[in-house]
Amino acid sequence: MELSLVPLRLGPLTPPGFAVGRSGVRWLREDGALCRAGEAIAYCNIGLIPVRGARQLDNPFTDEASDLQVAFAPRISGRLRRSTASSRGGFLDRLNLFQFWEPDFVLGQLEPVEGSTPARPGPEDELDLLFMTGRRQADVTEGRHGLLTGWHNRARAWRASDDAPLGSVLGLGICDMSGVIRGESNAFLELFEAIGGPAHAILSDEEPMMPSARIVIEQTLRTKAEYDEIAADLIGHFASIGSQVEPSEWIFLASLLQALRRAPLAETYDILSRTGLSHTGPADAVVLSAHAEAALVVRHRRLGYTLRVHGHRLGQPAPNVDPWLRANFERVDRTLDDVASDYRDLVAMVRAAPARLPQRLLIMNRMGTTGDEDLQNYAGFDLPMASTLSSIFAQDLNLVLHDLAREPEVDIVDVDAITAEMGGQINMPDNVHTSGALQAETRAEVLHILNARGVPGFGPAS
Amino acid sequence: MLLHLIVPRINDYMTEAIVEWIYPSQGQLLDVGAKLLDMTVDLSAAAPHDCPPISHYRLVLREPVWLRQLTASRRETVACGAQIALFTSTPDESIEVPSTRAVRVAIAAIIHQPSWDWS
Repeated sequence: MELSLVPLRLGPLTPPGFAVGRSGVRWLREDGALCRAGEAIAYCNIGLIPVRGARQLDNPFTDEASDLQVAFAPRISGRLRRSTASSRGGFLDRLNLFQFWEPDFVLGQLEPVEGSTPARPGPEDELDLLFMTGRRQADVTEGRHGLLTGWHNRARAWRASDDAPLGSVLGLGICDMSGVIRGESNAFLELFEAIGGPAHAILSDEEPMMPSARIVIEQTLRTKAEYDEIAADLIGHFASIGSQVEPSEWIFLASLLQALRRAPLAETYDILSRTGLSHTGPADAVVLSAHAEAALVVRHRRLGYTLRVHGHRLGQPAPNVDPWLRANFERVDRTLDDVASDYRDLVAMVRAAPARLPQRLLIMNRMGTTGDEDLQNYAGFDLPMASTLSSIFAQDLNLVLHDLAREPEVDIVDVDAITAEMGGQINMPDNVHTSGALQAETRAEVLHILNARGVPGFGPAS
Repeated sequence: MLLHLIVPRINDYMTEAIVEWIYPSQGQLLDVGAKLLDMTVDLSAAAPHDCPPISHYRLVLREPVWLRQLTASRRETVACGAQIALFTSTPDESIEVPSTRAVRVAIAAIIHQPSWDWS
C-alpha cells in the first residue's frame, strides 16, 4: 500500500487588527520520528503586530507578550519529515518578528503509518495549535532558550476554539503541583495531549510564598491601600539599611512583594485563537496542595499579614532579611482546626463571588505515611500526636479534607491513595517530590475530576 | 551494660544532622518511649539543589536506660555515624569500657516544633 505524505501547514492565525510575526521553528521531535496525533512536535515564538482595523482587544498580553509561543501538533499520527526551510537557527528561531505567519507555510510532512493513533478533529494537513505564554517576574528574567522557559510567576497554555467554551484550571504551585500541571515538558504538553479541549491551564507561582488557604484568602482580599502599606513598610526598612542589603536579598524581597500584590484566584487572561482575541477568566477550577498547609506560619506584628515561606529559602544566607523577619513577625502555631477553618473560609469566599473567583476547588492531599520512620509504639508521644508526628499530621489533614469535601465545590485529589498504590518510597521518597509516573497519575486524576464536574474541555482526547 | 547512640543515617543522601532539641539530662533514668532528641536533616547540606527537603526527626528510646554521657549540644551539626551519647543499664557502672551495642531507638518523622527557633 502506498501512503501519501501529508503536509503540515501552519493554518490561519488572523486576530483582527493584528498581523502575526513569528520566529523560526524549533523542533521537539527528530526527523524520521514516529509522532502521535496531538503530540507537540515543534514550536515557535510569536508576536502580535498592530495593523489598521478594528481590534477585539487593544493591548493584548500586556505583561505576557514577550514569551508568547505556539506549539504545533499533527492531527494524525505518522512519521515526521522536517522541512529544511522551517528553521534558520540562532536568534532567528528565538525572536518573533523576523517573519510573518503565513497560513500555507509547510513545516514538514507526515508519512501516515498503519496502526496510527486516532486523528484529532480538523483538517489533516493543518497543525493543531497549542498557545502558551508566561508572565515574567520582571522583564530581566527572560529566558527564550526553550519552550516556556524563563522565570515566570504565571505560566499558561491553551487550545482555543472559536465555537466552543474554554474550560480553565488554575494550579497554585509548589513542588508537588508543578509537575502535575506543567508536566515533564514544563510546558503543559502532557496535559493537553490527554484532553480534547478547548481548554486552558495555568500554573501560578507565588515564590517565595507557599499558597496555603490563608495566604490565598489574604491575597484575594488584600486592598491596594493595604498592599501599599505593606510595601512602604518593607521598602522603608531595607532602604534605611542601604547598600548592605545584598542584591540577592532585594530579589527575595521583590518576589515577596510580587506575591503579596497578586491575587491569582481573581486573575483574568487574554486568549488568542486562530481567528481572534478574547478575554476570559477567572479560572473555572483551582487546584491547591495540602502541602502548602503548615503547623507554623509567621504574621507581621503590626500589619497583620501572614507569611508562609519555603523553609529552605529562609535557610539561605540573608544577613538583613533574617533579622527583619525575627523583629517584625511573630510565630503563629496552627492547629488542624485552624487549617480546617482556613479551608472553610476559602470555600465561603469563592462561593460569595461566583463571577470573580473559581467555583471549583480541587485539593491534592498528602501521603499519610513515611518510609523514614520505624515507630512500633506511640506511647512516648503527647496528645494530640498531630502536633508532633508528621505522618499523623498528614493523616489528620487528609481527614480535614474529607470533611471539607462535603462542600459541593470541593474535591480531593487523593494523592495518598495513588502513592500507596504506586509505592511511596519509589515515587515520593522525601514525602514531597514526586516521580514523573506519580505526576502523570495525579494529573489523570485531576483531569478525571474536572471532566466529571463538567468543566468544559477536560474530557479525554478521543 | 554500656550502650551507645550514633546519629543514624535516615536517608541515603543524608550526611549530617542538626540537633534541634535535647530532652533528657545526663544521669537521668529514661523509660521506654522517652524522648531523646529532635534533629533536622537538610539534604541541601549534602548537595546544593533547589527545594531541598528539610525533614525533622525525633529519636525515642525502645528500652529503659540511664543516660550517662551526652556529647552533642543544641544547634550543633553532627555527622552521620558520630557517637553522641552513652547509656548504661545501671546508674553507676563504668563508661570507660567498650560499648556492648547501640541503644535501641525508634525514629519518628516529626513536624517543626514550636519550642525550636522558627527560622
